[in-house]
Amino acid sequence: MTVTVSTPAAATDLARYHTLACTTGVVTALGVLQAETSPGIVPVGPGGHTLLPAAVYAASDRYTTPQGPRPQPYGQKVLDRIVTADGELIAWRVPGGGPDPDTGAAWTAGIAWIRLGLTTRLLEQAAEHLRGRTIAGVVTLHLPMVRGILADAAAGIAEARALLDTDACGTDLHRVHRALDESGRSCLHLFGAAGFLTDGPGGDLHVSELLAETYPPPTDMEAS
Amino acid sequence: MNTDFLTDLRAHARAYADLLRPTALDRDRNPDLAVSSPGCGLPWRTFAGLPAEYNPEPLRVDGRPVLLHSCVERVVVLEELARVDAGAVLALPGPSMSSSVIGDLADDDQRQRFWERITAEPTWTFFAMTEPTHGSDPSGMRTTVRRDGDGFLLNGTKRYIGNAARSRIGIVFARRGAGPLGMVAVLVDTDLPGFTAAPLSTRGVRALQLSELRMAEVPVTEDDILGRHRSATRQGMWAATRTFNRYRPVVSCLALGVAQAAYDLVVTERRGYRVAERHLLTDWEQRLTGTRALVLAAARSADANPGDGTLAAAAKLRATRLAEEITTTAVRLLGPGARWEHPILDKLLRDARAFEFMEGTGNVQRLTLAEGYLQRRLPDVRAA
Ligand SMILES: Cc1cc2nc3c(=O)[nH]c(=O)nc-3n(C[C@H](O)[C@H](O)[C@H](O)COP(=O)(O)OP(=O)(O)OC[C@H]3O[C@@H](n4cnc5c(N)ncnc54)[C@H](O)[C@@H]3O)c2cc1C
Repeated sequence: MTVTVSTPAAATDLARYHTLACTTGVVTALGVLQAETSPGIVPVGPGGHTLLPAAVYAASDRYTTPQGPRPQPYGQKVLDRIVTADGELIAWRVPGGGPDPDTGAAWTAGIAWIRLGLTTRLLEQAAEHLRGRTIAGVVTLHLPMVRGILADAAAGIAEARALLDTDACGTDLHRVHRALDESGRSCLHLFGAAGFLTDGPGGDLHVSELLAETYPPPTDMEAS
Repeated sequence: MNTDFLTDLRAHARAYADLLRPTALDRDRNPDLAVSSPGCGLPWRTFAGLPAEYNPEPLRVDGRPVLLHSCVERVVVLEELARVDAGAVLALPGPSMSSSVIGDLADDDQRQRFWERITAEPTWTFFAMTEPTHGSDPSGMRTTVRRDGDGFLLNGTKRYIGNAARSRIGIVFARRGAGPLGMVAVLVDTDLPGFTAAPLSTRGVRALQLSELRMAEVPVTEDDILGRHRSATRQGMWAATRTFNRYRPVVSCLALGVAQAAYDLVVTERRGYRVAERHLLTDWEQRLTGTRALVLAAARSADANPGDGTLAAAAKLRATRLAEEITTTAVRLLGPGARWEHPILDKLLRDARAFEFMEGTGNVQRLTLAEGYLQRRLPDVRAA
């Protein structure tokens, strides 16, 4: 499959999705990203999957394919439903769907910014969680080894942000995702068992990972 | 135990593990199936590690019974079962971690009460240490057992306790006095007034059904206090530490089983690799072998001296990281939407993330390992 990489919007524009994901939530951020990059069209990932708010499906009559938008078929298979703090996401399998040659790059870059926002929020929550806990009388957040994990997570976020600020697109976005994956897992370690609960803070990480899996950037071969 | 015997034992376990396969995903969706089908398809008594007199059908390998009393036997067998469903292994009825505490602390009457209770029919047990505000730090424990007339009253909340909401008996760690020696292990029947347990929903190893326990003025007696005949230094904290040392190799083998399963899935499903991917698979293969050797060494060490958890901490660190890494990367290797296309991979990834926390987080293992190393408890350090 060949995906033509068009130039996405500049980092200064895309940074809004980071702020939205961080402050309001993933459902809101995805809704705005879709309205701005692919209005009326359901963005489909390279494996033929979607992960979107219900409102996006309702407001769209077409879906993306490598050959351009097609009218939305009926009877797509619902793969998953994920409740988040600001609404529900639904995953579909859309046979024949795939990234659009014109809007695919902007969508993929926006997804990376949204993940950055979710991971930023996760680390803030982890620090807050540990500020309220103690180990042998010492605030857990002040333990040097805990700070070490926190620093690793912060470094991953900083690397992702630095790459995104250079208007990273195409294969560079892979590194953004890997850095965010590592930071996300460090955050999970920081939360202790609280992050392992279904309704705990691990929810943001789950969605963030699924977004990366549903809408990965093009591989070297596809981008060339 | 020689290598041939362990190889045969592994082969037996692998054959049994297939019994778990058809229902692994159902159990993940609905943890109650672990109760309606005790053993999840396995003959539960065979795998529960029961004393010989309560285990009429032990595993038989090379003509001899295998009771799964040693850590070495456990890590070999349970890794193979975890390769199919780690949640099912953790959800088996039986003594689990409590058996270690019973073995170290119970007197004859308590021992008989415990074993008769849990072998008459499928019965789950729990080991309740963690509290909502204190996990890694037992010194902050708030659950208390205080004298009340001839007996005691138990008060407090425990959180993230495996199998507790389905258990009829278990061990609660509580503070009777100040300091590490003030902690005692109490054998608690869950039908006592003031005792409640509610399931918590988790992302992985869902069949284990973590729970929250609340104890409000639960009446217990002198007969329920484990270690009552033992010295002040041989009480709750001493037994808990030995239990962690014995079960960290077990948690490590479960993590290893999950890592191996994810590797197996990639090899089965993926066709054609790039050069870098081929190198990655070779690296995984070598790390799986290295970690398996370390887990076995840790199990041998725990059998020889349950007072020393140095190798167990090393094994748990390595196995946990490997399970997290392989499952996470496997998702990428199997392509976009892999977790939906391969639901078992989704389960492996979620299960793999439990091991970081079970029986002490990675940092707690690092602290134990560093201390053990400096105390010259690792074999190569001793030899030097
Ligand atoms: C699947 C599962 C099964 C479990 N089963 C049981 C069970 O049956 N019984 C039971 O009692 N508990 C059980 N637990 C709870 C488990 O033991 C705790 O989650 C664990 O001890 C960590 O405690 P916490 O979650 O409160 O994290 P915290 O102790 O709050 O840790 C938060 C962070 O601080 C770090 N940290 C903590 N202390 C230190 C330190 N001294 N130095 C450096 N870093 C530190 C940790 O590594 C972590 O990153 C289970 C947990 C899970 C996920």
